[in-house]
Amino acid sequence: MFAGFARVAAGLYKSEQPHLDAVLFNSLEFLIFFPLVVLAYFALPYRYRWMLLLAASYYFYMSWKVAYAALLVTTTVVAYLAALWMDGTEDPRRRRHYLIFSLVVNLGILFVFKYFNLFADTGTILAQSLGAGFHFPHLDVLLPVGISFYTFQTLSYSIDVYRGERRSERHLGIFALYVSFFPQLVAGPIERSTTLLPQFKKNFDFDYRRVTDGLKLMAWGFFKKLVIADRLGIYVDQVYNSPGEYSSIPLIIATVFFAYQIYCDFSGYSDIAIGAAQVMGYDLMQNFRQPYFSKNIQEFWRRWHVSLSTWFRDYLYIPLGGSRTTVSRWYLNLFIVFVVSGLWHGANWTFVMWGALHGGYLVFGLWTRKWRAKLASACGLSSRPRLHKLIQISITMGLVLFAWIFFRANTIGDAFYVAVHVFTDFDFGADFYLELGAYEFWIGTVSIFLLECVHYMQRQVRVRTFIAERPAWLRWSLYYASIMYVLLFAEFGGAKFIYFQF
Amino acid sequence: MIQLAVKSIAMLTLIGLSFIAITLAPVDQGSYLASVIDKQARLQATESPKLVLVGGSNLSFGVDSPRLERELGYPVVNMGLGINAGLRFILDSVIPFINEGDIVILMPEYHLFYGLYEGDDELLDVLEAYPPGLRYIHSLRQLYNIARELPMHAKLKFNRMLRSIGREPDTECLYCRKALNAHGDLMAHLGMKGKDLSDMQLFRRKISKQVDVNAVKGLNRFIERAQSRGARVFFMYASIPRKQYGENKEKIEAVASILSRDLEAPILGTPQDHTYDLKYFFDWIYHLNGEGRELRTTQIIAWMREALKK
Repeated sequence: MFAGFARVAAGLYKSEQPHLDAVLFNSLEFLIFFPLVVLAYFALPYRYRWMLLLAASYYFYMSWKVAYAALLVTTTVVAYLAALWMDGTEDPRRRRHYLIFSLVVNLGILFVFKYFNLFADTGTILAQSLGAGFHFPHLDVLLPVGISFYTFQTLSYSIDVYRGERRSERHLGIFALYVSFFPQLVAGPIERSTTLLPQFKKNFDFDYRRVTDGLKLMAWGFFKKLVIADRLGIYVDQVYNSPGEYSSIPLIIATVFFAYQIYCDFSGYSDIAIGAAQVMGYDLMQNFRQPYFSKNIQEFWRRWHVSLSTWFRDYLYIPLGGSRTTVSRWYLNLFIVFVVSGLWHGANWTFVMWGALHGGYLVFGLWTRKWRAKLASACGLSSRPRLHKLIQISITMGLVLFAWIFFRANTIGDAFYVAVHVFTDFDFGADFYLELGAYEFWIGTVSIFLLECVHYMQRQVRVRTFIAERPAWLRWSLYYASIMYVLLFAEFGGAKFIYFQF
Repeated sequence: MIQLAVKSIAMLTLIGLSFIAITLAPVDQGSYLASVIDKQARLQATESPKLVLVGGSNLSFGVDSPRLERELGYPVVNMGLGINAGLRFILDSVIPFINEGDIVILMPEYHLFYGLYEGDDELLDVLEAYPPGLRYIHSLRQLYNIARELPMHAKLKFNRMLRSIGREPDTECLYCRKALNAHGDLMAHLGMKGKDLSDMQLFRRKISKQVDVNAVKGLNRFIERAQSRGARVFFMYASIPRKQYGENKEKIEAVASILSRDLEAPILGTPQDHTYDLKYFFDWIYHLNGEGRELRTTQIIAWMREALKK
């Protein structure tokens, strides 16, 4: 038994590389895995389906690295037992102890695997700068894929049971499936137990409309990921891996491209996840609502990574006091939430900086809300709502783009370099296609344009319904053209989804 | 579910047909692999006795055929192309044109003994440039490789076609048909500055764990048929840098051990005899630069003079 634990522990070390043939959504393996799971799912009697999905989910996760499953099992068992114990007692003190047990174990795992090295390395640097020859230990552990997602999903369950918002789940298998459900396991959406868990007890029959809608959503996700995100990523990586070699124009283009890369990568993943779940009958929450059309930062956060924003709202912002407190404390609460949100994204001070920037934007926006309204009125913008809206969207986009610099930069130093040089180092003669080349550059740009056209259309009508109402020949031509576009212009380099690392 | 299956099959068929149509669309005949057309034409037109060099791109880059011709007194056909076409195709496309009095030097790269016997993605490129090559496809494995590569091939071809709209053809390309001379030797790299190969691995891609015995059997089949037609066949190892030889000695010597035991043709030299300093290589482990090419041609001439005396 000890040898078994030792093997699992050894497997979590960095030197043990993850499998190259992991079942990524954008891999050939997934094209085989998913139809097989769906076929088996509808072929099986209802009562056995949870077993199939649980086995498929663990297989999906273990395809990265078998040892990762040990953490998933630990998280599952701890949250399951803690909830059962909380439900089994009326004593508030004991209930709190069980909640703390669940939080400490789950956040402890997250801390050790994700944040320990950040704080240890920073501590070492600080100690050295103060003249102390002290080194904090550095753990040679591999960051388990999607750990922040399933940890937060599990935490929400424990807190909901503690608050009495739901009863504990007695069925360990169903609960394990809630934690590990493969479509959203590694990059969300972060689902609430109150919405997802009950769905695992429902019996879904094959529904043609629902299945085809799910498949269409998946295809849209593949377009975003394979055609846009992975193509733009080539340009972004080249510039951001050595920003000192580039002048303003490539830095600006790389930053704009990164904004679309991360949006298409992450919302593409969410679309594939939501679509895949929908094929089997499950509804996952919408995670993105065209965030780059936001008129202010507050709205941006109601449209970007909605499942995380609402998680922080419910489990951090409101417990801190939310807005029902003094103005200064309200602003502080907002700022804290955004700094923590930045840290959630990655163990690097660049992410903390990104979160702090957004927190700062939000606080500043609230603080100046009345003055800005007066200014708009004085400029006559109040009587020209379209122009006003366009200006608001442009300013918000500018602020978001500036913050993305900190999110993408490899170091704080690089981030400041880019942040300064985008405004100062103009060289209009510089080649801006870089290694991506003119052809790929324009394919990427045209694809962004198509994406925004669809987004614009989505604001007017429900696109799927709009297409469904067209004649069959037009529908089929559109589906055919869309699939061919994705297949012919996709980047099949097998790039991972950015949010897996979070 | 049946409705969905029928519609899915219909859409997949439509997409499949589109990809086949792209693959069958006329192709640019100026690529490096399209030089197979000229090489085949020379092979078929050159009268016996002739000297035929058979292998992958190590031959294109690393041999001065006109010099071989002058020194050895045989017209030379350099059939070296690319390893990804597979040893089977390389051999099968040459054997029908080997006749009495011909001399064949086999110089396959080590990759061809580690999983590339039946070819890979380049096989489809070669066939696209040279459709008569289809008659040299003899195994289901080769057909499977072609079918597997077809979607990606069509995608790349479509993008190439789109990219070339309104553009003048590249006049100074390295990997193109016109970069080769009439004998089949690449000329464009002569005098060009190469890459630093000191960190390059010999086997970058996944290779089979063991030496592929089919490769040895395939060579012996070729040798037997050539000898039965009155030709003489010799084997030489491909040229690689000493550094990479040292790093991959075990794998290379495993090939040598099996060949020295089973190959039915004289082997000229050991793998180590065919290694050179890194400075003689151009852009890949098997690709010699101008200086390396001269050195190797001198060695081949010396080896062959000795061998032909016997």
